Amino acid sequence: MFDKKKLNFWRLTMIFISITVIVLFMLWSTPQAKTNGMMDSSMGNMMKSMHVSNIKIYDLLSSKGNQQQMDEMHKHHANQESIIYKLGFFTTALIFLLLPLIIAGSILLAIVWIK
Amino acid sequence: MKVRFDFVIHWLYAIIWALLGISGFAMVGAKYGWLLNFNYGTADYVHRLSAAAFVLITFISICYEVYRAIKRDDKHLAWFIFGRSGYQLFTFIVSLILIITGALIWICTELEMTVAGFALLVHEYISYIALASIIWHIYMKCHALIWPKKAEAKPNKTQGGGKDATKTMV
Repeated sequence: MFDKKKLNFWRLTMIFISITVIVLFMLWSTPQAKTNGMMDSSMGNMMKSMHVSNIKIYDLLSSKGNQQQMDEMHKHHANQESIIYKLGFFTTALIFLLLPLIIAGSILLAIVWIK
Repeated sequence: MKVRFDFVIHWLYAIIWALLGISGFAMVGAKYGWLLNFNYGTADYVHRLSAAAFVLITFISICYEVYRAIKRDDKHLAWFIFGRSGYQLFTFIVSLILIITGALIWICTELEMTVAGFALLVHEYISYIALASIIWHIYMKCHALIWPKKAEAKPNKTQGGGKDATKTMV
């Protein structure tokens, strides 16, 4: 019944379970750690009820962004600590520079692999 | 000791995925917030930094695969994260979906909440599928976690000699 070859998997499982139990035990013993009521549901489910409950494909493609809200958010980001702002700029630049290359490479690989 | 490129990339990808998983699930909601002591700010920064590293590793891996395709190298790389079949293909597709939806969340929260909401929903549910698949992947490949045993330095003449000893390496 018990496969000896899978012993490593069960060892890893036991380590992760122990870590999880220790973390939960330590958190339950700190009464100041309170959760926000809004965060009770997962972020995806929250988005589903707030923004994605009644959308069509047209809504995904059309832009009706609120300029004022956008400016406010940008201002908030610009007010962050210098190092965090620089890191944010660097990571954003890296991701959006590499993204087109990743998509192009994936299309190329798809063509080569299907051949 | 010769270190293989696919082996290094595999474990770099695994470490970054673990960081992304922990910080990502910690941000999903209160249900998993305990992963980082409900510190959503730290989770956000860790997730963004790891995401940049994840995109970089994905880019390097795709470049390597394209290079292999140009060189007509059909050799199967057992440790490589991407490939044309099996779990490697699954990882490739899931990584692409996570990167594209992640980029949409990154940029659209400032532009268009409908798109960001839709991308976040897909990003979250794909992450659950990916996490379940990783547990299955570890279960299937756990024999690879056994550290290779070193062969006896001195060949034992009474038990067959050095050539046979190398066969005991896993």
